[in-house]
Amino acid sequence: MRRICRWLGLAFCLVLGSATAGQAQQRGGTAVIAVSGDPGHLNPAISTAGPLHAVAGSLYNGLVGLDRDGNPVPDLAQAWVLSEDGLAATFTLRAEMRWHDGVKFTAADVKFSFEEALFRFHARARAGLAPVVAAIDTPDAQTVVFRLRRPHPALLRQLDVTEAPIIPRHVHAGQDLARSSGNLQPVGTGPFRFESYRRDDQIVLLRNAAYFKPGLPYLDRLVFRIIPDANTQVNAFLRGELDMLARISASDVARLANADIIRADTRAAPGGANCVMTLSFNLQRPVPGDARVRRAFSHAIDRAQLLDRVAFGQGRVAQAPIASGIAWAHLPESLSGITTDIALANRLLDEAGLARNAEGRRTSLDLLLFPAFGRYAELMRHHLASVGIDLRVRLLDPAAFVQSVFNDRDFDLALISYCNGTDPEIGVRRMYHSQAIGKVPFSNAAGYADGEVDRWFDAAGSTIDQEERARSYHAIQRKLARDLPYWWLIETDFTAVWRADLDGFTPWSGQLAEHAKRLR
Amino acid sequence: MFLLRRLAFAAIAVWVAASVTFLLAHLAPGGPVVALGGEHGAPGQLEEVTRSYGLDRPLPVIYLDYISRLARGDLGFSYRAQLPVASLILERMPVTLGIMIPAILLAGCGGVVLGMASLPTTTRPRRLIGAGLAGLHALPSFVAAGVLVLVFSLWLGVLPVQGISDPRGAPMTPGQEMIAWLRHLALPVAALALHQITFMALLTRVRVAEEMTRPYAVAVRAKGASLRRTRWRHALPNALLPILTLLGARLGAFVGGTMVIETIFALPGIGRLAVTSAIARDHPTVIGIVVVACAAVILVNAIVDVLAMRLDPRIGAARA
Amino acid sequence: MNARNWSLSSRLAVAALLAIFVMCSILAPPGGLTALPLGAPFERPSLAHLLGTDDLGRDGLAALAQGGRTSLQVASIATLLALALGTFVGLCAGLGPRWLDETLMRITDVVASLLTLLIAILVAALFGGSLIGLALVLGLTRWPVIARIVRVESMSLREREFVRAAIALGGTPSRVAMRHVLPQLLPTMLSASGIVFGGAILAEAALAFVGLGDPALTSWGQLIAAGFTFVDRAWWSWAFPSAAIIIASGLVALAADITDATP
Repeated sequence: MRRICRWLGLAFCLVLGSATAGQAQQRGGTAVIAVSGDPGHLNPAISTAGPLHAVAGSLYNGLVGLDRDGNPVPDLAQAWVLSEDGLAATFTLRAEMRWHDGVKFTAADVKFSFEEALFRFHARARAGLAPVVAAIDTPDAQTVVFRLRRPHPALLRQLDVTEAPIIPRHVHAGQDLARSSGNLQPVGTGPFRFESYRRDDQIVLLRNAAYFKPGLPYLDRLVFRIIPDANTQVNAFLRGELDMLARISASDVARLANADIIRADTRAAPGGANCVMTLSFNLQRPVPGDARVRRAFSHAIDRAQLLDRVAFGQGRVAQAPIASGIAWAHLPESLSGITTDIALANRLLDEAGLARNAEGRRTSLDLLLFPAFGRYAELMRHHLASVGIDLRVRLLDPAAFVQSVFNDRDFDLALISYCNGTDPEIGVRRMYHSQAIGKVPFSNAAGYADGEVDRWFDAAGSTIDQEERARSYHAIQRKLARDLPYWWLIETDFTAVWRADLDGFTPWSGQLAEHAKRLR
Repeated sequence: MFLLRRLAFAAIAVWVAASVTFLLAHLAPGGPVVALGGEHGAPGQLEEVTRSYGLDRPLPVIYLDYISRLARGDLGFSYRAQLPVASLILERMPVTLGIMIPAILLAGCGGVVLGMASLPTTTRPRRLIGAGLAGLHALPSFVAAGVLVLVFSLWLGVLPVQGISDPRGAPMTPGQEMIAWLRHLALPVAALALHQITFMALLTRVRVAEEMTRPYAVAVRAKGASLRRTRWRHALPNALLPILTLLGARLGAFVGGTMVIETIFALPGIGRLAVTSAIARDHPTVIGIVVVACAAVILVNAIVDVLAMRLDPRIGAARA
Repeated sequence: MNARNWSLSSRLAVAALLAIFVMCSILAPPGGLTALPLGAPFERPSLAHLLGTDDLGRDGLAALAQGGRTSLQVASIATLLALALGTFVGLCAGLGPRWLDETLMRITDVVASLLTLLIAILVAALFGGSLIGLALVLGLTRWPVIARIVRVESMSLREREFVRAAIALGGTPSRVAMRHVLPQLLPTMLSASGIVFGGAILAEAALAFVGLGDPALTSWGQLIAAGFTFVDRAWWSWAFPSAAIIIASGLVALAADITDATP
């Protein structure tokens, strides 16, 4: 009997031992992640660029985090209270949080981040949140109070690490944020801290042993390799040189079919959520300003073909101006009357007075876009050539694009991936509200101004009653479907892949490796 | 004396290169403000660029200022990277030199050997080598790189696909680090050298064949030396120097080649910097790279010429 | 490179090149690639689409022909420019007085030290990736190659009897140059321009491949770059343009007679 007990005891110990050894094995290790572009710097509070957030997201936190469905969970703030009238939101910060350089985190950092960085430079915070926030108070070091001009239903969703990362006041204060030393030597609160940044080569982050969430992160090192060529990324992944591809096209996933991988398809990515590839018309120019021409475009472009041949099915044709990912606001039938009809498009263009010349061409229009979207432009050239419109494609890098489209307004058409966010207040309002016309990057590119639509947006933005808001958004979408200031092409999804011996990645957020660990 | 003339000439050539870039910068749409500041117009930045470069002054003044800045080593400021262009270039020099120098050596030695091997003899295979060389010479470098990656990285799995190091960074002895470095650079060097090896081989082939028609070679053959011996011991040494000086003249092709190779293999070198800066319209960086690269090539050519002149005075006479 | 008689293989190669050029012009759809209807994407080579279709469904043969037209046009313009400049400079240097020769050769050497591809990148960045710009850059930086060859040739021709006779009979230098020397130079000029032409094709392809070409125009380099994205899924989209470039530059090399090593 004793002997049995002893053996059982031994067996039990062995099992327990191996379990904990397994747990222990989960810690540590390096993950090598591929990104397609060089971030340029590492301050996500002054930019919404995807590659930057993919890398820098792991260095910082927001007041809240967002889970896969977009619901807020505690991050820097451990609790929050909304006042009765909805005009004040009080956040209680966790105690004992420190920046990577050891300095204590306080509410002053939050105030600084919003007032000096986010509201001035971050496209979505500036367009969507700044108009609503009247003031930010910090009654004590652990408390932040947002005083709002009107009840803001989307507030919590705009406070995560992608929409509002918090940067250190003691590093950036007094400097021009566009050139701050903290941009290249970042100090954050995140699960990983900065080790090195070799331009066009790689960024190395190390585990933050003093991270305020105990037990996290599991990995010791994150290495982001900058590999612009998608083909090289896939080759390197197949050879084992990379552990994760932060963003992979559906076409390339097919090449990995035989590999032992885990795949995540999401509507959100470090740069934004619920992104819609949108064709923007410059309403201030005579040709795109003509409603018949815009309607002709909507009938000439074969969106199903774009989805199939350019996005390889990674997404869906836009059924409404507001993305289907925001289900309660999305109005499914709003664009259903618009089908691909070349004959109708031709008639509309004839009516608009754009006659065909001897070669069958009506007119030439400039289309501006990022080089990464080149294939969309190529296919659209074919579609529009069949109705006699010659698209002159101009590929511009982000800075030049912003200059031409939002500063100089020197364009006929522009292709923009507008990310709606998890609430229409985040990324939809800025596309249509007349107040959003101006030099803010990725605001109202079309220059659309409609008093009714403005009022509906204001109404939807000042109540927390979702049904009431939905009614306003539905009315907006019906009007937009008639006016067509933009043509909404495809809702794009994102796919990330990683080796099966790793797990815990959350690629829909900038914080993609907080819970990542090696399985074996 | 020759040395001085050669260096003076080199200085003039560098000055011309700098002037060409200046001319282009001023002809470009947007003008020199854009060329010197890049198209990253933070509000007020263009005014700042105008002020700091003094672009509102008359053209000759700006030109002189530009040249004197270059002479001091001030290559301008990249607003995109927020760093001086000179430091961006210095940062990447080791990687680019790390593939260029082995590629040049490979092209020189390998090219000469291959060229000699392809000289016509009675045996059929030699002729085929010649035809094969011509075919390989026509291969664009990016296609060659793609094929090399396909064969050596994916099928055989012996060499890495990209980068200059294994980021998993297990600590390695210096010996292991050396080997890792070599493994990462093997394919890029091969791809870069390919076009030039074939050029050198074809050139060697032609030159040595010419030398063989000279009286001294005919005489040696008549005295009973074998074809092979005549070629290697007599014709080649005489043809070698002009061949190698021509290799120096081809340096520019190597620099251009790094552009494509570094992009494909994701190497953080100067060629890739030129491409990404051009795409990002970061003009100051591109201008800086053009000037530095031209100056470097001119200088190396000057040195090669002087050395060649020391070794074989006939060359000096022919070029003077 | 010495004057060679226009060998058979050289003549055949030139003929083949011209034939390719003509075929490209015929097969390229008038009105550009957008004028053709789109087929199903990723179709293998078949009777309907001889070279298959690409990811957008465009016919491979039409794309190849269009790309060929672009690539060959750029190379032609560049070569003609280099030829005109190089021949002029080379003739003046070879036939003229010594001081002229010295001066022109200095200038030639200086221009020869400009790095073509880097300047092409700069022009692409400053002026947008226009192909005319590229052709100009190529032509204006590569003429020294031709100038040097023409100079050596004309120097040796200068000593020949018919030239001396023409001068003795009172011909002005330019007349002598044009009517007597130039025709003799043609094989050499062809050979030299072949070097420039081949280099121009590869330069254009390289620029297009890294994304600095003209996005409005299809070219072989662009097609290869796009084809690499689908490297194993649709081998025909990169294999055929690659083969086209190899064949074209191989033919150019043959035409320029750079492989001829008959002792």
